[in-house]
Amino acid sequence: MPTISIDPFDFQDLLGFKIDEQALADQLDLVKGEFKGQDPDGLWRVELSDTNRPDLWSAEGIARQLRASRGRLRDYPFFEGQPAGEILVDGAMREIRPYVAAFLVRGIEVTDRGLIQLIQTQEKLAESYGSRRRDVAIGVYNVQRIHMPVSYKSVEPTAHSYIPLGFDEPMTLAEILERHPKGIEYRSILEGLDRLPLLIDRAGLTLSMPPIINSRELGEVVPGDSDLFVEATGHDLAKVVLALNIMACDLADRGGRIERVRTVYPYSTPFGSQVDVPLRLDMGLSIPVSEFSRLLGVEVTAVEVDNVLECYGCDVRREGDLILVQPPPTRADYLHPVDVIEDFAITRGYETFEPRLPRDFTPGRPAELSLLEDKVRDSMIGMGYEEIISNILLAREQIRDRMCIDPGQAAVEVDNVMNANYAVLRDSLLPCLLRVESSSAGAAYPHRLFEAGEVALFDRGASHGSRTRLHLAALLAWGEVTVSEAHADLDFLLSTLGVEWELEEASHPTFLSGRAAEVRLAGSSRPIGWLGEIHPEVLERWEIGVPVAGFEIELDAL
Amino acid sequence: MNPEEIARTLHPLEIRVLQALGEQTRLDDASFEAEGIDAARLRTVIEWQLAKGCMRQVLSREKHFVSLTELGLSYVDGTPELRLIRRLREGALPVAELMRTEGLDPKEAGTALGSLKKAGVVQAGAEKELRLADDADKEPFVALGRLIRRVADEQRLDMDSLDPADAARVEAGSRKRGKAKGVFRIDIQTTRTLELTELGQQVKQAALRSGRSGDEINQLTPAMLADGSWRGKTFRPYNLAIRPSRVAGRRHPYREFLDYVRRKLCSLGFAEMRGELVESEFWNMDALFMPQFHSARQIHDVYFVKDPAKADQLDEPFASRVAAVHTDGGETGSRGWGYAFDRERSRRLVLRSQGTVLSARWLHQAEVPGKYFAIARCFRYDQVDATHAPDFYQCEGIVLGESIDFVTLLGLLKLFAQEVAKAEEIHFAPAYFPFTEPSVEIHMKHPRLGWTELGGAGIFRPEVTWPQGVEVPVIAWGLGLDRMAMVAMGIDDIRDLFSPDLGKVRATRIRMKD
Repeated sequence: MPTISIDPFDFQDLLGFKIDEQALADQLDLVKGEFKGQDPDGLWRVELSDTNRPDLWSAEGIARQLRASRGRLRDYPFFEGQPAGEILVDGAMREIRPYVAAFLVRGIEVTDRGLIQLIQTQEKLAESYGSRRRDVAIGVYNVQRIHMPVSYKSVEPTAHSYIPLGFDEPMTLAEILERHPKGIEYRSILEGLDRLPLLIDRAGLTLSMPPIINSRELGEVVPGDSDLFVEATGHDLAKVVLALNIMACDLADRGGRIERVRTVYPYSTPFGSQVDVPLRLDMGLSIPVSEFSRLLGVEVTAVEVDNVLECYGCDVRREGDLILVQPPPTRADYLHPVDVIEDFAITRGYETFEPRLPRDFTPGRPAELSLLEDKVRDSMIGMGYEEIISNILLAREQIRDRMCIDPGQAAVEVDNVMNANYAVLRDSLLPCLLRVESSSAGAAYPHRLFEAGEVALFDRGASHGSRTRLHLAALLAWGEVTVSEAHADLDFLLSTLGVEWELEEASHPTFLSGRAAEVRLAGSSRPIGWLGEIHPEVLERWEIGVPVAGFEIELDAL
Repeated sequence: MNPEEIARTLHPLEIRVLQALGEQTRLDDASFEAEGIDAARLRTVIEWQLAKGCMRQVLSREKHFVSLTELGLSYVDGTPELRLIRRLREGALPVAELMRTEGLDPKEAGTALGSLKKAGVVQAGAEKELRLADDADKEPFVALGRLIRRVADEQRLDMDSLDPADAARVEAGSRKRGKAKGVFRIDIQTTRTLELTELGQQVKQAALRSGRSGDEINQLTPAMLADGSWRGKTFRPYNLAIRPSRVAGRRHPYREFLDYVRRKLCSLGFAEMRGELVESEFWNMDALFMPQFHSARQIHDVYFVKDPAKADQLDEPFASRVAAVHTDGGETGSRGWGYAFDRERSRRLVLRSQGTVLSARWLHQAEVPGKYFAIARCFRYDQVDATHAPDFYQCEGIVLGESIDFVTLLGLLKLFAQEVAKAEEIHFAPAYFPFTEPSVEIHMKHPRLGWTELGGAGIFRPEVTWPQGVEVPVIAWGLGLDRMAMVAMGIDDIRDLFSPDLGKVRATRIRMKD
């Protein structure tokens, strides 16, 4: 979820009316935003939750949405008209980074404040919406120094050099990827390419190596500049166009005059071989008004829908009971009529809907396994056990080495481990209880602990490589505890449940030999658990200073 | 309490100690003697008296006593070094021969030989045979042997009786924390001098005045009942001021809270769902219409499973239909996300990252009308801290029916707020979830925390329900349990919900009402 900073003065200029923190916080429902307070520089922090509305990730965008409800939308005439510049695409770019588009803005006064907002918008669009510059990366240049047309082509990494922003000397493209901070940060996008993308003008001056870094000569924008060239490149043309539409409307809201730029492709694109940007995307939907009433649960009329959606900035036409909706050119999130219906509900205000209970009768019930789990927990508590609840993610060493179990024995392991303490799913509950015992020498004895909970058993034959099972484990710890106490408790528990069971002496590395047994259902040879006295070696590894006995059984098997 | 009150409830042992004190007001716990009172009982009496403020400690001294460890006892007839010296006194020997000294295992012999060489006591001769150096100082080894015999003779030796050199030897050879072997063991014994406080003296006077003898009956026994010896005796009054402690079986407070929520939901007509901890990306995300390029699907948001990395197959017909809605909307009337759906990616296994997975899996088998819930453990790739646990519970569910729409969604959330969270004031706000539209967040006014988010919900998008063959609208809802639980348990670190510290668990109480 992007969080942006907006300058209160700049924002009110964009709005055209005064607003304070409280009033802003109250209106943020319209943009699914949350006011996060003021930062140390006096900027307002706003978190925006809708990942499909990149048009809202700027002061201009939020202001535009709030203005709409007051009927103060600007006209954006620049989606038609002849282009004022051109980009020529080389055929090889199709396999490298296929799409580029651009527009010009003139007569804008770039102030410090405005520049900060512009950079923030550019970054949010490229990072969040553009998947960290893979789908969309944006560059801004001073247009007065560019000789049209611009070429979008590829070169060998060492065959071309220019001075990148932030450096004083010319570097080859290969050197930039190797040494420039932005090169290091984003080079993975260009990994494996033997030719690299380049934007270069008619005079042979470099604009940038997209999506890495602009040149210092053309790509350094400073306060006072008034005419800019804004381009975007990427792997998804619809996203590239939408990002530029948003930037164009944002700059128009700051008083800029937008001029289109034509991109000429030698190959076909989803929008043809000549793409003039800003470009209106057809995101229109036609929806029967009855759909609104059905989904919302209240009767609404076509007139009301028309009026309310106009107030949200949409272009609405009515054909009888059919509503034809076109969102503003900065939005591409109308996938289905439900998206439009939500906008209607938001604009009308959720508080205008009277909550009503669903009228259907349905029987409530816990899962069968939960009923068994509860019965088992009741028995354990009745016998004086204290219940424990533990994390399921553990360190690998805790479920293997410390239990004296072969460290190579497979478990369900995390691939992208962040912290070795949370690297495997437990396949037994005993380590969790031993961990508690190990941390609780200071708590008055005796300790009778149990946990009922899920474990994940590694099983290559299962469709997900593992099976989730519900286990019960019990641990008894005090100075003179013996396995017979654990035995008595297990017996009481299973007889209460009406389970016929038996023990079979067996050896297990966690338990003392001769004092360990497999638990089986009567007449079955499959073990469903263990009973025994914990081996002193295990206790030593857990740094436990009292003898421990216990058992663990699989509840699904009962 | 006044002195009379305290005197009335004194334990017979306390009476006896006070009687034995006579006119004295001081006692030394190492030398005090009273009939029928051993050291352990005396210590108990002193603790009681200290707790009641009747005594205070005026002096405490530590005394160190030396004894031999098991290893030390095995050295009484000579340490390994001394044994080697004794053999070499009879003449030079080859190493292999020396190593076979009786009573020494090879490792011990090796270590001992090492320290003798280091001290210059043993030298290698021309033929590589070992012999004693003529001018070597064997005294340290001899002195240690002497000291071990002395401790063995006395069994328990006051450290103060040792000269500084021997004391240093004891220190060096004693078993310390973390050190596996040692020759000496040092026990520390504390002796205390105690004094009756003014209150103590008043209590003593009151106790003597009351005529209590100290042989009141403390505990009625079957034998007394059988032989009638209780007759004519007085019984010591029970002291209400002391709170006896109890270790007892008990539900974990967090589970007590989860049980409460589960019971509530069942009573509201919800049936419980359970599922697997390991899921495919297909069910975890694709089926919920989260596009495969969605930012919350990156390596930094979910835990991926190492081996096997992928599910063996995808469930049909769901997989084909889900692929269709992602690509072009399928038959839902949606545009879809408009990208090439990657079925390989769908097979990748992850640790369940959201409880909504269970709802997604349940859709095709759900009854209509139907209400379902799950309290499911989920995993997120987050730095673990006071607000992020490695795994945590999510409470989620669905409601299916012809009568489901936006206002019944609001009605249901309002019911949750009133029934589960006992909230009186609520507020609905627009929200965003990839799988619902419209989406809503419910906020409630908490008596102590102010406005706080209770949960999120919405109506499943057709792109979610159509692939599962569901034709009626479906509410999907989720409640933020952890926050509610932490408030009820009075904790502010989320990790304490799963604390391994039994003391903490025992001290935590659940408070369902504010």
